[in-house]
Amino acid sequence: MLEDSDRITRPPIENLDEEFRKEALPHMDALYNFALQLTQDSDDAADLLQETYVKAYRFWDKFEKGTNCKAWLFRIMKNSFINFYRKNTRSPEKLDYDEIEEIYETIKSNEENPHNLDREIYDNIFDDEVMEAIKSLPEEFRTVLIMCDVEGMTYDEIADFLDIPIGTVRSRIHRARKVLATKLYNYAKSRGYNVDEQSE
Amino acid sequence: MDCKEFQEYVSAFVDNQIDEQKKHNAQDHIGICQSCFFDYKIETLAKKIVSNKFQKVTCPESLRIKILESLVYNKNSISQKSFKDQLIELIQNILTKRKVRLSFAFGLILIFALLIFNPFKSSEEKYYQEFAASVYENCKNLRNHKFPAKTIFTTNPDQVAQFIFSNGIKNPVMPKTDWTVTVAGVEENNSCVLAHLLFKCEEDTVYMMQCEIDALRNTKYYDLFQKIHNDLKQKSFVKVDHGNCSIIFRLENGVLMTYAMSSHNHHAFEELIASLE
Repeated sequence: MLEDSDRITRPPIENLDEEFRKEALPHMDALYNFALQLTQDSDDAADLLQETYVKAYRFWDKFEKGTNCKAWLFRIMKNSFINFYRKNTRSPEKLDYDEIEEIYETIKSNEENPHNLDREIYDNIFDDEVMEAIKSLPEEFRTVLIMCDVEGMTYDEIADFLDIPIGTVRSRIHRARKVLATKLYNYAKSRGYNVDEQSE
Repeated sequence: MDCKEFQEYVSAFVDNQIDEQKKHNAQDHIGICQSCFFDYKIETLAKKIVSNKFQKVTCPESLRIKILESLVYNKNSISQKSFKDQLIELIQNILTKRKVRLSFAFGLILIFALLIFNPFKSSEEKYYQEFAASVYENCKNLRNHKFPAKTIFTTNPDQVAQFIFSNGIKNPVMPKTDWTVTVAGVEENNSCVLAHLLFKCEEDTVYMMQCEIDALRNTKYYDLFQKIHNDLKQKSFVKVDHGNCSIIFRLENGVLMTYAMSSHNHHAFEELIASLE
């Protein structure tokens, strides 16, 4: 916390609204991460983050005090992204979900004991491979996964924020994890950790 | 709980976002169903991996400073009090100091000169602005048609943004560029921007336009857009000529969008069409 306030003393931020300083500024790191996930490009993420804060500050009086400021900022970012960044972003390869499902079912029938997989994958996968796999997810899957597992938002918050029914949140997270697990399984396998060994 | 229901709630079960009764049922189910137990374990594993191995990055210091500066700067420029003070100070200076008076006069002359000759504006840019203005004029005609009580017509993105926020519209569409032409309206349920024509300059040829056709019902544009929309069910894109302009329309997620717009015979534009064909 001390480090944070040290960092931001350079511009005369005491001119900024005190509530804004306390409520909105501490989320800059989380929002930057989110921007990176949305845009997949550090320059675009920087622009998006700046735009988000400028808008948030301009409409600060519209923020309902006492509600979740982080979710409010996320929402501004998401809307900005939808309107102006999505088209410029290279979208990841289209995901053939049925194909993934098929592979997943094959894994399931080969691996009788999920405990083995847990050990094999978790211990052998590198962090950057995890990032790579997350990056390859379609944006709608990636967003819910980050919100849920990285930002720790509840399903209600995610549903409200993305303006989708809670059932959609459940199914997106479910599918996202299935896809992710399948990809990680393939990474682990291609790197030589033969996860099929026990069943062969 | 059967497998189908379990599959629906497995993620919520893993995240403990489920009521006690369902949780109980889910636990019972994985006790007897090996296939669903596998899914449950895999999903738990995926969650563990993302939670533990996701590499969070911190916002770069330079970006943080840049953003804070832009906020502080904005604050100064919109703060009425300081603006008023600055204005008073300026006027006092003009009246009292000869140097300031001279530079003020020089500045004024420069501004007029720029307004008249406008060396910064390319003819291309002018054309686009004129085009945007003509679209805006056309949009004005929409006033005669049936719109909800709260409707604004403006080319000023700030006004649109203000409008959207002040009416509490959910998921507002945020205009940004100077050439946004928006016909915005609020429905009873506070939920939609009715017609939104969005223009954005991409380098020198490409604009984006978004148009929600339903919004144009009862207007003279409706038939045209409806036809384009129908044509797009068979084709991947439709090219429409509008004066000197050519516009390419495509469907994106069921929304009619202009993919590109060109004013003259731009090589890049032709290439784009070729790539689409």
